Amino acid sequence: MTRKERMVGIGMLTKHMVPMVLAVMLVLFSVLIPNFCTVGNIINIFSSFAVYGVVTIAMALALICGEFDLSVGSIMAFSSLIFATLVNEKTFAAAAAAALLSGAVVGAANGFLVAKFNIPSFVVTMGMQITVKGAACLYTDAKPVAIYSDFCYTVGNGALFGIPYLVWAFFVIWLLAGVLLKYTAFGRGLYAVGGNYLMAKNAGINAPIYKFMVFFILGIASALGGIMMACRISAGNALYGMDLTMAAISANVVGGTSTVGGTGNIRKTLLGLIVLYVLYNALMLLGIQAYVQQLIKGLIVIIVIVIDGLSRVANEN
Amino acid sequence: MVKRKKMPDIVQVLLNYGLIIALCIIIVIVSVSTENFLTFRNIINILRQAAPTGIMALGVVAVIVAGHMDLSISSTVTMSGVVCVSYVKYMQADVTGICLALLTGAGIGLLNGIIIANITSRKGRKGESFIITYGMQAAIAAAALLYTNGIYMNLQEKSLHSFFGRGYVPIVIFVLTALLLEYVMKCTPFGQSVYFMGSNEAAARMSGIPVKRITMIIFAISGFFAAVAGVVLTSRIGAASSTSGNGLELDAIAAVVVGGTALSGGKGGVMRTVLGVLVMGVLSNALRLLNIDTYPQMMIRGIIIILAVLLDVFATQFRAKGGIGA
Amino acid sequence: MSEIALEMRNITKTFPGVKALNRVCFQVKKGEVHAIVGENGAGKSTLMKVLNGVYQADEGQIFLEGKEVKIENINKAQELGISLIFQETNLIPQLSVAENFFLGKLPKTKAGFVDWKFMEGQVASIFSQLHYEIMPKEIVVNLSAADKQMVEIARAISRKAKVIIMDEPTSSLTDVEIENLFSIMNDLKKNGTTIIFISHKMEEIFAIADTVSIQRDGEMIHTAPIAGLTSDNIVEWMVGRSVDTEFPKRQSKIGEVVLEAKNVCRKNLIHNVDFALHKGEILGFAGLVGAGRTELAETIFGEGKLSGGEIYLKGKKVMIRNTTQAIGHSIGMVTEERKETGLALDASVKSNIVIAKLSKLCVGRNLWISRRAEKEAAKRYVEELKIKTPSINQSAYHLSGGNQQKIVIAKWLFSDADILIFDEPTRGIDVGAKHEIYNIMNELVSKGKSILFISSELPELMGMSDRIIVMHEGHKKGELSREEFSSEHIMKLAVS
Repeated sequence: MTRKERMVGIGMLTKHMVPMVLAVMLVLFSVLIPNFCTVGNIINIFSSFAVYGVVTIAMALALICGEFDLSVGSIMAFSSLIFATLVNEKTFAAAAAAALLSGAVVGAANGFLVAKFNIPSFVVTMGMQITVKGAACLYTDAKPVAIYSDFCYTVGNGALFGIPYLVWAFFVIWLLAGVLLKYTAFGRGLYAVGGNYLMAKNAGINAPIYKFMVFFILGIASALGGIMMACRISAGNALYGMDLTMAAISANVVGGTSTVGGTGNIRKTLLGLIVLYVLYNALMLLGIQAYVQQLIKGLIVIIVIVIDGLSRVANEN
Repeated sequence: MVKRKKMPDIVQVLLNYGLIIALCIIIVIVSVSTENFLTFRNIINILRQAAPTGIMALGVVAVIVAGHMDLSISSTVTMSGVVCVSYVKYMQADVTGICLALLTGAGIGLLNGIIIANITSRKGRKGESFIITYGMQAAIAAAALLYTNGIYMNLQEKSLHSFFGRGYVPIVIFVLTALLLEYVMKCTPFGQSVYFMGSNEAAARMSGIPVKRITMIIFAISGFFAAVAGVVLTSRIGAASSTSGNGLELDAIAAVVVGGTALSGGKGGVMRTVLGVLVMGVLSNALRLLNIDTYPQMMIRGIIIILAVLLDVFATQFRAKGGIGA
Repeated sequence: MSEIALEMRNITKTFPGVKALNRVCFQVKKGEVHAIVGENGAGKSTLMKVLNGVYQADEGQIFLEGKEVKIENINKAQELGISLIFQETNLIPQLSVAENFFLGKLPKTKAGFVDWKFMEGQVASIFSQLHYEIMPKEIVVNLSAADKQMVEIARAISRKAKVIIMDEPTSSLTDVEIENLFSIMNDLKKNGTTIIFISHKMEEIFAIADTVSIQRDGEMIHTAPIAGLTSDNIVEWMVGRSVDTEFPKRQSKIGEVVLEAKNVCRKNLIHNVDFALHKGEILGFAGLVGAGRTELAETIFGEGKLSGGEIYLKGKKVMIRNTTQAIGHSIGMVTEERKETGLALDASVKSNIVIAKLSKLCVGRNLWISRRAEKEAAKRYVEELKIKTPSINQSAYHLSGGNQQKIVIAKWLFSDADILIFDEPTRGIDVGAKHEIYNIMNELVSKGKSILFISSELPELMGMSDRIIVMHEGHKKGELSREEFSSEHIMKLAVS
């Protein structure tokens, strides 16, 4: 008997729920918090996720393809250091290129191992996480590297029409990813491979290449995140990106992308980012202690993933 | 019957113990080229150093044999450490502190287990335990920060608690843990069920093994021994902070896989892990003597994990071609 | 109309231990609906998979419109214009209808982007030709089973299929939807498309087919125009042989009721099934694939949730919530998917045998497994069931299917199960091993154990069972005593 297959993941719960939750949150916080509903604060919210958001978008591609990556934080840290050390001596472009290259190499290594040997991605990227972290710490002896370039500072903190460059960058990448997912054969292939690997293969889609590309893109996006972060703080640091993996996965899952693969889109990812970071912003404005904020963030991640997992198991039965 | 070729023993040995052999060779080279390596004092020192991570590694063996993963043990070490030390330092209540620390660890583990048992897909795992315990790692680390307010707590006076880190005591605890867990894994129905579950969870369920309950218990074990490690560690260094466990989870996992316990489940065990802990301990000591510090060691650990997984893949492929039975 | 669209000559396909297809010859005329019928396991699906490139034949040739072709894979089959529509739909649920049409070869605009407009236009025009309403943009998850079926058919048409193979396309459709499907099949026929139609349902075959071929035991027995045939003729051809003496006789005393199921229901799968199993009895379960037999067995074994009804063991009402409890009640289940749920291939023969009741090996309250007891138990069953293995420490991986199956049976014998569920125990194992398994079953019942026997092979089911219950789509359709056994009778109930 073929029963009607249902939507998987919390996708089914959140089709209209996420926007509603967001609306409720916005109203509530606007009433409760005096400084919440101001242009300045709204821009603040967007700039607070611009850097992680770039990686979150790349992670969306991975989740759609049925994979995920624990090593993005390490890549971000490593590339921020490479960028920071080089930009003090060479040009911005050269430093950025080197940083992106480093991310691409690590991403390619992840992708190769996953696609070629069919090893589960969490195992590979767990090993890569510590390897790259070690490399990053070794590179500058775990010390942050300050950047003395005014140009970098401007890139990281300047604004155009009142909106920070980094937020512009985020939206450009968001749009590009949207086009990639919707209007290219590659993007549609990701859904097919994540939806049903064997069927996609049978239809003549070169599925391993898609898996490889997902990690390659994640590597580059994480490196880009590293550059953005370095510009924003005016320093490279081996400690960047510690919570990046979880932030990226949870934002996607909150938006309604399941970890099962085959579902999700770029709109949901943005929605998830906004919901989470509006909440974080409110916690901050409410003056809640930093450690409590961290704990709440951690709990939200777990709750979100548990709900996703429970609804998936419920669907199986 | 499928005809079985005569097994190429050497390939089997290499696939099973390749990493250990390779590391031993490195260690021999180092010991020849450095002076203070093979001294009694240094060896005891190595064992004392390796004991806390070793205890963590032993605790996580059951989880890995069952085909799961626990990345939260590092934060559990931290949390149990700060809980314990806070009681020792501010209330001189050593026994209460230690008991609470162990309870905290087991509780965190049990929570992991309950969640994972209930969200694991029946049609094959999809890395649920990785995501959950990775998230838990962050959440507990934040809880530890909150608990300590970020303050570094050090202990001056000697007390009952300090006993656990003194002299041979950490080594003894490590050995006792190994014996206990070896017994549990090899000699009890529970342990045998864990192995079977790691080989094929669906078949285990259809053979009446209470898969969910076992999942909860193995994570509780993992959390409990992480807490033991936390107590020993804080006792040995005489201090606790909200970062004392950071990164230790991958030390422990590296030791487990070096011993030959496959991350795909069903293979390996406690004694192999003891071997892995020793090799990793000696290796890091050797590297230290060569003035190769922490950071390259992190890289080495990561590379070892990846290599171990690759070896497992090759072993499986080799067997599928008709090579060996386990 | 008399032109030959497709011919298969002397197709032979052997799986380890089983000759699935034996020199099958088969001709289909252009523009006809050609039905293939046969029991489960007669080789219909294998033949179609050879035609579709999923399997490669060991011997034989395939001719398409008179030219010999080699079909190495599904893509090649599609290029040649052969499309197979599976029982389970072959669509990626998360993608839209239009994308599933063009999967793997999405049309692009000049700029290199996916040309959604073109895609959706094409799909819409095909559906309008078929007079069927589906939005090309719709995500497949949201479609009904009938819609999905139609999407597959439309997709086959869009790929300019000359030959469309439909493998039980109606199994999840309602009557109205089936009528609709048939009118579309008639349209296709008029346009010169050839359809191969596999079905168990006689009324459908008479409603739509022009020609019918009957397959049995991997051979093509008979091909004839439908016009001169009756339903009884076809069933006779299908089952063919009489129940012969290849099944060992047994002596067992049938005793009191040990297991009674009253009104057993499982949500959407099983509806109000009653039966009683006696001591020393083999109770057979017949039915087509998807009739709910495995699901019923799982429910009794605690693996599926009982949503209604009661189960009694030796007269006492029991609640079995999981497999652990089922084993506690002395029930065992030899599962259908041996390698997935029967045994752990990596684990040793020994641990596979003792796993279901480790407590039996223990010295003192489950705290210590006696290695000696374990070894002795494993050795005993290896000898008793003649399991061919180099040693009890060998992993089960490289053993033959028959020996693996014997390990699974040994597991339940070791667990002291009194009620054994055998779900397709002889699937995929060779003839010799099949007989050994029959002998083991006989021995078990003669020792007073009881067996629930699910099998899709009617001869073995009739040869082994004391009574047979026939199921259809989750309902019990009939119960036959030994005197009433006949293939025709069972098939009629099973396809009703």
